[in-house]
Amino acid sequence: MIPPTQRNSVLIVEDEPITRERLVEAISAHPLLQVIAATGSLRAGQEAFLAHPPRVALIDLGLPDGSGLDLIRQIHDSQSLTETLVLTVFGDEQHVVNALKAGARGYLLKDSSFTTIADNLLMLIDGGSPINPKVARFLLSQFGEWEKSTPTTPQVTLTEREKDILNLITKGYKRNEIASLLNISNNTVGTHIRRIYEKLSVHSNIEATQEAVQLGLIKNRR
Amino acid sequence: MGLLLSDAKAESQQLDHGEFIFDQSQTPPALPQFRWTPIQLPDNWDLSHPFRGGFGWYRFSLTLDHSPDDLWAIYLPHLSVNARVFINGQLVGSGGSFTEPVSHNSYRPLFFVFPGLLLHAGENQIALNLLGYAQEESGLGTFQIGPATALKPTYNSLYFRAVIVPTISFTLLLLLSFILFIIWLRRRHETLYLMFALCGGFCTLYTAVFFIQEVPWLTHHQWLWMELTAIMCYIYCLMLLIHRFVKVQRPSLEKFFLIYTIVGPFLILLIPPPYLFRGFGLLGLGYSAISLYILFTIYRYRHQCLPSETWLLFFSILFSALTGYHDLAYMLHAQHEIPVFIFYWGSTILGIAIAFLLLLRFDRSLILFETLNRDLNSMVAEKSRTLAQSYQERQTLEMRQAVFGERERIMRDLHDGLGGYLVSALVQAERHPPLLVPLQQTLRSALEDLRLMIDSLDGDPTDLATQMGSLRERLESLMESSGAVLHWQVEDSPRLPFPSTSNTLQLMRMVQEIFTNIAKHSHACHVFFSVGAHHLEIRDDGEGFDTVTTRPGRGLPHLYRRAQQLGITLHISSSSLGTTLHLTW
Repeated sequence: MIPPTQRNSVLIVEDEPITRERLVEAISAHPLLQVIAATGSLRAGQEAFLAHPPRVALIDLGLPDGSGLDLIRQIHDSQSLTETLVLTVFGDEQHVVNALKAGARGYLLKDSSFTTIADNLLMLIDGGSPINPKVARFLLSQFGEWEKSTPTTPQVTLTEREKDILNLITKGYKRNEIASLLNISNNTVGTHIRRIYEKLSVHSNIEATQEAVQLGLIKNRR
Repeated sequence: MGLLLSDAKAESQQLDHGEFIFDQSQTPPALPQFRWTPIQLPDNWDLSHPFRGGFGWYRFSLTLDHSPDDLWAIYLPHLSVNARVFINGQLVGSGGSFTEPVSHNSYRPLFFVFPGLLLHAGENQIALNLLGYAQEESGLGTFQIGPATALKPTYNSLYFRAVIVPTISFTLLLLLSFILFIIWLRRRHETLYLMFALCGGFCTLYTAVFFIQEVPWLTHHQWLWMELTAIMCYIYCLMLLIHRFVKVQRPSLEKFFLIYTIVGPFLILLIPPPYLFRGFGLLGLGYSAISLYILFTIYRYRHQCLPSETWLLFFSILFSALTGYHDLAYMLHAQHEIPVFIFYWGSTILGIAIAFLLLLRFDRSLILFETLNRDLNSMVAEKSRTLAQSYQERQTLEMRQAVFGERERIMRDLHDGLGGYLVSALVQAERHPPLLVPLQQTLRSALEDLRLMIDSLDGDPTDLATQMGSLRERLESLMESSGAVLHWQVEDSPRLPFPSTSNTLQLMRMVQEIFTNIAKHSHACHVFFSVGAHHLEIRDDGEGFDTVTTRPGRGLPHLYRRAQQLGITLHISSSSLGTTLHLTW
């Protein structure tokens, strides 16, 4: 048994008790993962996060006292090491895209098998990103919009290789298949995906700063 | 002094040698011979009798060898201002009133017909009583007497030129002035039209003298003053018109000549009548200068107008100015003959030319207006079209947004309600494995189908590649559970013949159903999935089945029906080495 201190802390915010218990069960079963809090409301989730920022937070969106998006945003803005995954029943675009925009790194289906749950969490902790076709499509369209609306800088635009990788992900290809299709290693694919996420984060920060400056200017004028 | 006509049937004769005397008598005076002065026609009083005016008598003798029995006539082409004729003491014709208001015949020929019987064999006396004014080119020009039929054509010809033509041009000019005045009333900012109306008005005022013999309320000198003042006003207005025509502004010059035009004629009223005519002649020198200035201005600013306009204007003004100089020369320096003033020719021709140009301009602006109006109409139509289109687009967008909003609401409800319950039920079923496995499978199938539905509703229905990509995770777990390996190949995004949400869902269900069948029945180790723009192929290395005799559940008819509904072709081939399903569109 690995000592609890070496395990990666996980916060679960899910209002359905049975589903929450199953998630706790699945995560606790893995030697490298530990649930530090499992709450059923937004407020409790926020308190739990502030008390002990976890390594990963699994957050449901439809909470009785508000939207899980607020918590995702709060965690993203706190500049902590916490990575968030949104919990969803269907993996539908509305949930996934809104969560990604708020700062989540991906989604987890509520009925995923124990193995899938653990694998996804560990990949996230390892610096990889649990990317899938919907997330890839969101990233492509989001970067496309930025390229159209703002002057492009290499810091925030996708390279052709990155676009190729995202396109292959949207078609359902796995990392090892992409690696062989593009004649690169598995790790390189992972590096590319991580870099895409970094660009997303940089761009989100730039956007946030610009918004703040604009708000400041408006206030100054008044 | 007399003239003998040997043949009464001969051509008409010109009488140019006679005698003259100033006398008030109403009939040919029987004064002693010594009081008569011999004269030769033409006789201009300004030269033969300076500063004399009033009633004068001319007498000529005509000797015939017998009395003519046809109609004879006396034809007086040029005289000033009125005359009456006596043949052998018998009055045969009069030019009209000899008292104020006096009849004016300065510009019109007189033609009196009389019976030839009035003339007898031997010497006949032709007496002409003439009314003239001092220093106004009064007097008598050469005249002819003879058979009426012989003289009539010549008279008619001159009458046409001297009376008919000015009357027609007067009427035309008056009409044009009136039209342009009306145009100006409607378009007050276009002062050009007003200037023309004024020019035309003044021009007709002095042209009237050609066919109006007497004005009831005006004495001879009043009328003369008015006539000559009208000419000056005409030239002044012409200058204003030209300034506006070539778009030049000379306010101080205009003001100066306005004062000149108002003050000059009034000053002339102060001088005695015999100096009135010559006084106007001197004033006229100023207007000759204006005419030269006008010609120069048109030439200098010729680029402000169309070339055709400029030259038509330039030459008609030049012509008019030349006629004016001709008349002015006569006014200032008397000649023997009785002058024929021709300025009215020049001014009426000029007036008509300018009216023509203005009407052309009006026509051009009308065409321009019509063109602009047409352009505007087409612009308005275009805008209306665009507006209607954007309204429709907005409506479509609103409708789409409404659909999207509704879909979002349903999704949220599904997620928080049905979805959550399904997952809870699944989790509970998982906890009692042996008993509830069938329920667990049913619940999972329900959840999978719900996901499929939601995927098909998500985003762009034509983006089948992503839909397929998302499906892979589920297919993968299905294959894993049956122990098969899934080989994935998506070359190109499939493009269905009729892409829509429902068609996408149908296709995804077909794929899911095929994979469920493979998992249930094939016992395959490898399943190959490949998609292109116009095809989809699922191949396994399982046991296969006989496509003709085997009836594996309700799966196959379902698949065929769905393919038919989608408008795509399904081909199944199977053998002991495996099964291949090929969809093409």
